[in-house]
Amino acid sequence: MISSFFRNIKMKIQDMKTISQLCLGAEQYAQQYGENKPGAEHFLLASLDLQDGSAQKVLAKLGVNHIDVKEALKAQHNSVLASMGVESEVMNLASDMPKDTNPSIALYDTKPSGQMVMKKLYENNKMRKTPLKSIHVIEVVLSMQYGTAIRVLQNIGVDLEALKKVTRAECY
Amino acid sequence: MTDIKSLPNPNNPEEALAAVTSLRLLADQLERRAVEEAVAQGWTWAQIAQALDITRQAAHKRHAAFINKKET
Repeated sequence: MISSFFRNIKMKIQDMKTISQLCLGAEQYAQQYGENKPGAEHFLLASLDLQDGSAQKVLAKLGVNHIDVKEALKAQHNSVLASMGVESEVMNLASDMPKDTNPSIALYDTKPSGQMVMKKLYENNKMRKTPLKSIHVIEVVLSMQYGTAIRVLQNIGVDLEALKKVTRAECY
Repeated sequence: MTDIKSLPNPNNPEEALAAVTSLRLLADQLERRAVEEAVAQGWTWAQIAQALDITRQAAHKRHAAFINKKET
């Protein structure tokens, strides 16, 4: 009973560290990509940097390199703009964004898709008995039907249904 | 950067809304750069607000933190 209590406390502390790393990573990616607030796509990228490596592994099972995902986000907006004949690249305008090396999660604010990621992670976490891992972020992102994060995965040829299946098998 | 040759057909909402997202990001970044330049050229927040057709408070709230962060 007591050991279970301490195990739970330890897991909560570990989860808080993971969430902190995830949020800071997402915020840094948002800044890097010229946005004020992180969205689901930035949480997706940040999950690929988490130390447990489970998100990278699940993508690798489908033959997807995590670096390709990062490159795909860069290409996403520019290819959409190019298809409309807009020659400017969003990353060029973003290139001189201030580099905030110490983003604050005390005033953490996200785009609605980022809020959804955090909300679903919290909801899923209540049901889960294992520590939060990067693969759980992938699971949440895959529950979305539309948006930049999903389009990024589609654009690099990820079979979303196959990824859902592999992710589910790894999560539960 | 100008000269939008073809917009996606709204009948394909998935493509059209993705285009809106990208155009919004581009517009946000252009606005941020232009406001930064305006402040550097000595514009007041009231002038910037007038040019953007938003309130002075809204202009300040939207951009002041970014500009202050960049200056530090």
